[in-house]
Amino acid sequence: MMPPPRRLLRFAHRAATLTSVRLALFAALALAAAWRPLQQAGGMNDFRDAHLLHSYEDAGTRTVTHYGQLPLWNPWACGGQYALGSPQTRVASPTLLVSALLGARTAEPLLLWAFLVLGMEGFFHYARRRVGSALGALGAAPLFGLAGFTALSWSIGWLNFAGFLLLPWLLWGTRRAAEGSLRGAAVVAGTFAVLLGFGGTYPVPMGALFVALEAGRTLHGLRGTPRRKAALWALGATAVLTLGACAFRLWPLVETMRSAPRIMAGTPGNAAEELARMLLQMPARSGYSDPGNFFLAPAVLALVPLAAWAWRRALYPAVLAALCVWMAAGYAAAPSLFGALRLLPIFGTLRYPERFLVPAGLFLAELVALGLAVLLVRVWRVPAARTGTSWWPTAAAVACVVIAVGWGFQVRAFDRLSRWSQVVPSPGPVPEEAERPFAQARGNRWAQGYFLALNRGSIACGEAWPVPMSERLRGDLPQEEYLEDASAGSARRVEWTPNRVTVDVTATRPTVLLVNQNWHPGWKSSEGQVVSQDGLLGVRVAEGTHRVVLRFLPRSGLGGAGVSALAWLGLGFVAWRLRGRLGPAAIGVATVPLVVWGVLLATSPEPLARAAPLNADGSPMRVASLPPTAKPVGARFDVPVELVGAELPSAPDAEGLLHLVLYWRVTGPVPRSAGIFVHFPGPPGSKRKNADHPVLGGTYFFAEAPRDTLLRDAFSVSTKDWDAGERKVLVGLWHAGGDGSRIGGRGADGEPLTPSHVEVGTLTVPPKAQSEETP
Amino acid sequence: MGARWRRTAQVGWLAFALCGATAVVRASTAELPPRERALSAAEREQVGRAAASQEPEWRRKSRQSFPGDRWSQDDDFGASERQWALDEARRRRVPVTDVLGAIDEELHGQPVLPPRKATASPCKPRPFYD
Repeated sequence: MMPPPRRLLRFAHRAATLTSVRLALFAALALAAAWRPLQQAGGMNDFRDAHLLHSYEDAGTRTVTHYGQLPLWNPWACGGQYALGSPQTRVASPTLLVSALLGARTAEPLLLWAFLVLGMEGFFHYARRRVGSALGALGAAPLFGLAGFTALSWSIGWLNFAGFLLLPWLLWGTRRAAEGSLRGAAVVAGTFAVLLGFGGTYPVPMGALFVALEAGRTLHGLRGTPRRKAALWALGATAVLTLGACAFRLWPLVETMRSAPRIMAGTPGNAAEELARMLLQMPARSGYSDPGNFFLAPAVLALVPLAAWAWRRALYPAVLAALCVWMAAGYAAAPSLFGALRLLPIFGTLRYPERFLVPAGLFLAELVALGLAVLLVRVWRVPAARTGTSWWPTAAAVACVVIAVGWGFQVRAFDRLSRWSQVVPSPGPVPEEAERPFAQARGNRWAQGYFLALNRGSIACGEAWPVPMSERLRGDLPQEEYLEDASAGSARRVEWTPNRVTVDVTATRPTVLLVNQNWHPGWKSSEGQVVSQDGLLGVRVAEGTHRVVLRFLPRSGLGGAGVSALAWLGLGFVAWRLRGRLGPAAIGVATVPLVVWGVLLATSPEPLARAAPLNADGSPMRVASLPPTAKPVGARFDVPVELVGAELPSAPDAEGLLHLVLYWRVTGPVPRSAGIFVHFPGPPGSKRKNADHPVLGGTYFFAEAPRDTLLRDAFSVSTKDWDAGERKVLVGLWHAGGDGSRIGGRGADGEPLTPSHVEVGTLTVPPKAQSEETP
Repeated sequence: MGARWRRTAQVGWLAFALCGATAVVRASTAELPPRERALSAAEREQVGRAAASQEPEWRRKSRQSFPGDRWSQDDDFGASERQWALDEARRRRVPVTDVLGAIDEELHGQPVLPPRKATASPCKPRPFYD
């Protein structure tokens, strides 16, 4: 008969491997953690980001349930927005069905609960394979699954960040795929598709990064060239299949981001102490606080050193956890790994380095699982005769207690972070179209959720990327569909739905029917030609009476869905005809949808809804030549950038504002770190003022600016707190996102710029009383 | 799998389903405060006018806070307007939707003259916030 510790271990192991028991445990823990959010179901989160993000889901749900249409176009946001092309929307995920079934606000906490369960179960599968212990994996799963960041995300309306919880599924699937499992490939493809559909702006690129590393780890762990070769084929097939499976969302996103890329500059950083507090400190009782935002019960981390006993298995997660923390330090670490990552496409748009604490938590939890596994193996190996005297069983029992207490702390931290959500009563059901027809309002992105309840679109838009929007959108029109030339006839709305608008037009001469929404190339008309009138949706109509039916049929959304459907059919074919073998033949099958994608791209060209490059003040950035009012400068820098000229006022305007313009020309490749400094040294004793900016006109890094084009960089500063007197205006370049060093250059006379700047002029700030008295 | 483990598995599924059902019931039966009274037509007009009278000052402040940055100015204006709408709704004990609806009605009701605006600058988020 086995001694009691062994029997207990065998029993616990058996229980841990039972899916139902495990899921019940995870479901109970998730229920405890999400109790408060569930209690608030149906309410509206009043935080600004929640207003924006939730309104997307609300709009998508309304499009499905009220109009029976796919959520392709969202007329309620930003004057009309391509829903699939907007990276933060969740409408392309299967979770929309839950929203449609229960209502978007009721569905949210349920989805949170489901993601928590999925996260823990995914971690279990991943860690069990990596650690080799079901009990170790089970013990550590809630540490990752209930990590603080999900609760914080919930509180401020970023439910799309729950996608991070699917990270272990990606890693597990990658390993299984490398081992030749079709199921693994399907999990990778499916998880990426769900993440993209769920608005995973960070989970997707970060997931791709860790999938690539996991693939390398798995390949490294395989013995023999034939095995590695087979794994490479399998991983290749998985990659191609994933690309096809994600086309439904990837295509619209790439199309949109090409037309209006997100620009993210700055040098965010976190000191080591700050990171430790984010990860290890219990969040404040009241909810939101930086400490504890990524909480991982510190007591449980005491098991991490035990993982050293299995150092070969511990090496990878330990190195990855360290790299993630380094990444999370952002620009506070020198050299900055985050800064290096930002040089890569897509990763350059990441704003918050501390979010790398989420994968850091995953790898730390893996080490905890390994530490626990080491202890349990030691207990297993204690000879029966020494069970009573060995301290290993006691240590293992203590570890189990610590783990259980750790779960309690995770639940508590989760609850505290979720207290911060500012849930207010729901603004009520959206009125029926017949009752209150849709119209655009000036709107307010800080309160967007309220506007949907009024069946009003909000032109005011607070997205994280420059949504292509028309300047001609208005929030005060008597009717939303009208003729550009009012004297040319009349327009009458017949039917309005998000993806289809029907208007009766009577025109006495050819004219343009305008719809108070943004133009997008996906709009097609039954009559006449769809045009962009300064970015506004328009249709050229001939003289006579017409019924114009405008339909939103985006090539990328519908074509992408077709490509994805083909990819899944291909997967079925591989399972059926190729018996699940992920070899060259599978790659051939998985390539078919991509070929179709290429054919669609080549045979159905569509123009881009490109946002015009404008300065922050709305003036154009590209100019043909230096205007006569500008002073030629002609300074050339040690990077291929020329400061061609400058326009400076002699003094601030009536409101104390200075409006300046610099003219730049880029003639070759420039490092991404290069930015502009503008200094205004004042009279002796006064504080130096500046208008440094790393991005030209808020639109281009020098690295990405169009070459050999004169670029007009307009910016303004307030002189409200400036001392009176004359100030020079000194301009130069520096490595704003790098080591902070200045970039040398030569003036128009060919002489070196000794302090690495050029004086472009002077201006005078009047004495305070005088400037304040000026109306 | 022995009979004992089969039973354990069944209990596990039952417990899992119970947790799921509890989550659904909890979410569907969540109680939130009832809606407040609605604004009358006269009050809506009054609220719309009050917001309109505040607009020039909010816009002036936003020009100072974000010189030369149209989108940020409009966004800052939106923050002021939202705060005012929340305060007004609290003061009058009406839903915020009513207050925002009144502002919208006022904008649609008569010509909007500068420095007021019935438009919003195209979205152009600032490239850095740190």
